[in-house]
Amino acid sequence: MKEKDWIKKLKPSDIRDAYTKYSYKTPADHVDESIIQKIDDNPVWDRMRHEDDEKAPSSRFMHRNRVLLAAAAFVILLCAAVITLLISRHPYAYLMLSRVSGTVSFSKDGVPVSLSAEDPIEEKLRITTDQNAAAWFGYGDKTVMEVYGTSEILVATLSADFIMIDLSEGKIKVDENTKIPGAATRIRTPDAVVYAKGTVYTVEYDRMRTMILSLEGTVVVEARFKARESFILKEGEELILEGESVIRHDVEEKEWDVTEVYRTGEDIIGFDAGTNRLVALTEHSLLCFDENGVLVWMTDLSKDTPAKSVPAIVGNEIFISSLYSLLVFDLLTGKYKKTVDLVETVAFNFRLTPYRGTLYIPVSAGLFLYDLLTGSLDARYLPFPGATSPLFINDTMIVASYFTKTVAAYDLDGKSRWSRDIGERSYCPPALVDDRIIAGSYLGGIYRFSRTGEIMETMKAAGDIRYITGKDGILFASSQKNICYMIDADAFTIEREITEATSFSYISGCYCLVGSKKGRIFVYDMCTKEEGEITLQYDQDVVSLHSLGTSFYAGLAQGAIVKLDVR
Amino acid sequence: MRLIDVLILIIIFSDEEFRDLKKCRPDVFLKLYTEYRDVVYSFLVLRCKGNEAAAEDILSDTFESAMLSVPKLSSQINICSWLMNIAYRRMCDYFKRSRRDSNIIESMKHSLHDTPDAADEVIEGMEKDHRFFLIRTAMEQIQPVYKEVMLLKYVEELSQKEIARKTGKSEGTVGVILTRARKALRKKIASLDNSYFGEDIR
Repeated sequence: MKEKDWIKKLKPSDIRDAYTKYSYKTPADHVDESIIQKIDDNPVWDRMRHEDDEKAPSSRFMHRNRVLLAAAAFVILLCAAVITLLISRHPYAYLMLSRVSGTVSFSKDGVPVSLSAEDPIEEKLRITTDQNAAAWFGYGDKTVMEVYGTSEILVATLSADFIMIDLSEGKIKVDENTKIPGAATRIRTPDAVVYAKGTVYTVEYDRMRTMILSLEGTVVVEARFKARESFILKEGEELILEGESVIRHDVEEKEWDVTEVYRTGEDIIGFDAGTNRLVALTEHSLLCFDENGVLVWMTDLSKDTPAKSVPAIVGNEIFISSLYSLLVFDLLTGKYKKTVDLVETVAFNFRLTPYRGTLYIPVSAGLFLYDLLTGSLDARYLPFPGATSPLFINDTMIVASYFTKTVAAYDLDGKSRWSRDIGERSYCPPALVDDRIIAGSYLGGIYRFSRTGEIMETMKAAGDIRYITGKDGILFASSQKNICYMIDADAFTIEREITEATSFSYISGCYCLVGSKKGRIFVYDMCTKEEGEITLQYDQDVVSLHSLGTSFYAGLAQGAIVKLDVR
Repeated sequence: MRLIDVLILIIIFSDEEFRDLKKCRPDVFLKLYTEYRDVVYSFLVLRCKGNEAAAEDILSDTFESAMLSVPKLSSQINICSWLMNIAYRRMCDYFKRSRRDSNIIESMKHSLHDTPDAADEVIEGMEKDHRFFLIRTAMEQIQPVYKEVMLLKYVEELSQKEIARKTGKSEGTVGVILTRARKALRKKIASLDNSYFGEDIR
């Protein structure tokens, strides 16, 4: 059954209008009277009543033996169910990519080929997801697998009985709905084979470790090391396999370890993470930490004009922007490499965005393009005054503007694809949440756009929406009024308002962290839908969040950088 | 609009009334007719593209057929769905008969295209009616608790907290019910649309 668009996007206002603006029609009086007349004088009914009286003895027999008949019917139904189960023993023979967010590709003759929704997936296909991308696969009509960003999987076996996925990097979530014997999804990492029936679980392989978490029901884990030991994980239990060591613990009681890694007297402007390195930028210094939160180096920026943007790490280089220039530093040593003059004023606090060998720099007149291969400023630039940081979807770039009050899409050569006037300034970089393009405005408008630029949904929140993120059908939109709105992306309605929030939220793995005032961080577990809060021993606002490996880092106004780990 | 007005269509036939209905009691059938007449008629008007004369004829056929079928009714049946099924079948019969009488078909075509300027407006109005009809009818066919919470939320425009207080449920439960209710409603609308509006009969 194919759902029409309006049904998929059913709005609360449709339901309200159905009751307030529509009434059922009533037939004309003469028709009504004629039908009522037929009901009153129905000769067939008289005959039926008569026949019914004659049949009464047999009806009484039926009534007396009702229990016996019901039992017989139950046995017949049971047999039918067993037969159906046996016949449908092999219902799964296809794997399909049902939804894509960001860039998901496979390699063909060494060349990456992008995958789109509804592409069938063949056996032996090796699929990779980019950072911040996600892919959802359907196996038959019962199992949904979500492959998180920066993951690599190989469809090792795709048969009617089961599917075997090799996870060589990243994370996968399996919602296995079938209870049919043998018809299970199996996830294999170098350490373990994981399978389950009728459950939801995640498997992550990162830095030679396999982490399996059962979110619902029971999961079976078969270790691949010598003893081939099996483990049964109950709901809420996590198993970590590393080499031959096995750590098992209950993750239901989530507590966070908080460690101060550095204290500065300046606002933390922003973080970015590269391979095993986290870089933090304050107004006058650049700091680099390793994965244990240990300071590796610090570079003094006090001679330069104050830093304006969140840093961007590309390969072994760090890019930050000051008022009229782009500064480049070495990631490994922190040493200054060069300055690129931009002439135009750099837009305040927008992120520098690297994409396909180019660094996009928002300046007052539009977007400057810095060629990362040649290390020079590209002569081309996108003349879109007041552009926010762009959002990239394959070969399309989407930007909002605080000057022109529009949201627009361009191809990578700067040719306009569409432009939509939203009538309100926007300081909010557009975001891709699942497969939805979302933008926010200065007056609290939140918009969902189709890929062709039509406004599909709108909603009104309070305050200047500055940042939007989200995943798995939930949006987090942060406004300057210190409210972060948690929004049901399907119904496009506000589900919860997180008050005293600073205008920043961050998602990694199962967690969405929302920075709050006075050293508090709201935590939403997107896997279990549980809410929690971390209270830091500081009175300052949490202004920046990021993650490196399994740890989160929070930057506070005028203060500390802390490392957060789930215990 | 008060909630009581919009809840009017929650009609539960008691087991006793079902027995009376199956015994072909005119007063009980009259109650059924009065309650469901407008839903079925609205469906027929939509399906006949605004031709009220045809809808009225089919409405009459529908309830005549229903009268003959009541002895076979099961108490578990959804009456609205049962009547719409009958209406749909009677409508198919009606149009099969009408193929032999091309005047009816022509008159229906003309009713839409006589005034080309207004045609778009008419079609737009019918599309809206189609949507609203599906939403209202689907709301009658989902679980009553889903309907109640959605009406409180979207028609009465109460907050989740107020709904929780009114229904005696926790705020979290109301949130879960709302999510499931929206899903169930979408599914039911799609199923109704597919069953009754999926293909052009003529």
